[in-house]
Amino acid sequence: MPDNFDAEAARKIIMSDERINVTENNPIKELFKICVNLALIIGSFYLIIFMLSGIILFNLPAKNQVQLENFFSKLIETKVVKISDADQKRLLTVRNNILNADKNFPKTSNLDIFIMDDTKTNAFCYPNGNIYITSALYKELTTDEELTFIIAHEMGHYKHKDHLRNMRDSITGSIVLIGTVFVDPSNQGLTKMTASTIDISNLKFSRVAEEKADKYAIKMLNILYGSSKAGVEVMTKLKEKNRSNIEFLSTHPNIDRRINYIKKLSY
Amino acid sequence: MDNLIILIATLFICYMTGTIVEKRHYKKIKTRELILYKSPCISYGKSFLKDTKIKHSFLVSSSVVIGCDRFKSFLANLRNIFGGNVSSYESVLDRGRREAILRIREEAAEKNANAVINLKLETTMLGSSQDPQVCVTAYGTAVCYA
Repeated sequence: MPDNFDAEAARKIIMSDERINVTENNPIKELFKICVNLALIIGSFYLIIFMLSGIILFNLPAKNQVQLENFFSKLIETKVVKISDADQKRLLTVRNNILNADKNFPKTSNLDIFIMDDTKTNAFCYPNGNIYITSALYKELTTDEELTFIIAHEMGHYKHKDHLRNMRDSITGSIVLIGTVFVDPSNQGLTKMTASTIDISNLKFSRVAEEKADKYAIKMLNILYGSSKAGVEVMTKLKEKNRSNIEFLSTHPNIDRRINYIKKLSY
Repeated sequence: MDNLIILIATLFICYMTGTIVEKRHYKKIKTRELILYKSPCISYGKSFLKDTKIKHSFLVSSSVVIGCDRFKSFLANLRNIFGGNVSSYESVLDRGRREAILRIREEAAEKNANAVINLKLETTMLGSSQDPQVCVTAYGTAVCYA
């Protein structure tokens, strides 16, 4: 047995928990630090593109804006239902009433109204200003006041240029996401995290836009009929049809909150 | 949004299980090292043995593959963006190395060898960059004193 081996020293080294080969730091803390750094970098990148695309989109000449709107509208497919002449006339009268009440409404769109085949109660405005109401919702709208509320709400979206905002958000989002794929091609974690954060922030803006459109619709109802009771009625009908979900994760504000602020704005 | 929830949940579960597995492994390594503390394992045998008479010697070798949990690889991948000390992989490498050395020492002890000399270590990466595994091969000469 060689005498230059000290077993006791070897035992002491094993007993001590100190490990030279492993850095003793908290991985959660490290992850948090990296995430904060990444958020700062990606956030500033997002803001720059957001501002640039916003400036370009909102300052486009009216003609090019209409071209862009038509291009994006063609990408969406819908099943339009043929409606009777009486219904068509009813829709156009309501629309013209709103247009007569609001002299400042932009005249860049035809504002055609269509009924589409769908079992969900919903209505939306295309980027080119065309309004689509689902057949399920149209059945519910018994009075002209209720129809006015829905159409004025969608026209409010067009007036507030929410379609351009959506375009800007989606363009910015896709550019940033493509950027993250290049930065971190092997692991999809970064892309997933960025996509979810962008989604949540966009939902917040979407809810603000909906609230503004609601307020516009109520203003129109007040001008045309002197009261906005129809807004509350429509919302109550929608509440029965759609189950309420978590506001944080939805494009629209919570339906109870919508009813509340509609009631507050009524007179 | 659901993507993020799934990701965070996966990472959390991986972190918890990974930590438990690692702690258990370290505990095992420590107890096994304590059993073998009297038998030396040396990388350069010539100066260590000096005039000691050797009865016989034989080759001992072992290889071990240690998997890296998702949390560690996720952290390392994020760390790669900025660069720096990828500390999350260090414990995996440390475990692999100690486990491989332990295995040859145990083999040597089983065959009544007194020491392992001329120890060499080799490390290879297996698996993908998303799920890396470290493969550590250790080999050395087990000697029995005369």
